[in-house]
Amino acid sequence: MQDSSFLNAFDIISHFSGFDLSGLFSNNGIHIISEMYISAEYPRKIIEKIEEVAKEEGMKVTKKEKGIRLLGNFLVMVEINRLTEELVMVEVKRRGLGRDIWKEKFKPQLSALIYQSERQVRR
Amino acid sequence: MVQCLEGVKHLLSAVVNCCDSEIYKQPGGLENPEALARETVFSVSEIEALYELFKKISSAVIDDGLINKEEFQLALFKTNKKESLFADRVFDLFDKKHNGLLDFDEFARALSVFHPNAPIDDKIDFSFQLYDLKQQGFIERQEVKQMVVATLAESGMNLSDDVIESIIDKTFEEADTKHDGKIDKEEWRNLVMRHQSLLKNMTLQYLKDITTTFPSFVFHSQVDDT
Repeated sequence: MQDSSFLNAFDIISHFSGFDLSGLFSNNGIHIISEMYISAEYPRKIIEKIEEVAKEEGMKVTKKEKGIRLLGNFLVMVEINRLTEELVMVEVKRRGLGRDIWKEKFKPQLSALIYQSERQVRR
Repeated sequence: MVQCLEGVKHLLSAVVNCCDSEIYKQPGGLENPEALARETVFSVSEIEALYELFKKISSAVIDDGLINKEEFQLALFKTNKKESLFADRVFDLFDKKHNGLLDFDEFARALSVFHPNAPIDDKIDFSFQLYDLKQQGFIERQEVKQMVVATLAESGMNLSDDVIESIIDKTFEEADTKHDGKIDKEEWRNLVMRHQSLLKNMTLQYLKDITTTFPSFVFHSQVDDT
């Protein structure tokens, strides 16, 4: 896979940080929850797992080019991009009313796939 | 004596006409939405709707018609406890007068850059200034690392120092075409034109729908907007 198709440092900074001003609007029912995870798993395997849980929960599943879209009482959009040879960045954006199904059902199932680095960052 | 009075009259009218921005400092009054609409990407009704949002945010802690840093943080994160290196930087860029407070003029002009219809050059400029933490006119490797580390920490993600270093190496390999260890405005522009997703956070789709999300402006509207 070509290096330039990997996420670069600014992708990390721009996609995932407090630069997101959409919080200014979130009192008015337009509230998108955004979370990111790092995984050493193959994207295919992550998507499969998500699909499995989605079907169990009776959600409508639509496969996308780089991820998957789930529709139930919550709308969930998952996008996976490659960060390095070994690691991918999983971005989950969701919004909806009522029970936060992602938090309750998906997160616990995916926790095994999330990468935990053992070494501390030198600042 | 008459000449003296004339002089005073001229002086007074000069002061009154000085700059449009002075007009918005009056709490409770949006005096000249047309002027702001002319100078930003917003339509007059969008300016009025934006003013409703501004009033809400600016009255959260101190009801003075101005947004201070705490109110800004509250509006973004729903808590004034979260300190974000970047929310600070954003605030500073909005705060053109550098007085620690945002009036509606500053608020509207800055948000105009985030409108889907704003020129891409404005977004490129704003994002460059945002990432140029020390405001030196270039983005240093150390600043990039600082932002990456802070972002990962905020999101609860975990990467080893080696991995972070290699990601930054690759970024500079691609971006730093002059090979001087820094990314200047031109190099930033080239990088972003190749990877437009890097400007994702510079566009707020909500701004296009703002007239529907803040309909209360309809009752205060001074303009027949057809």
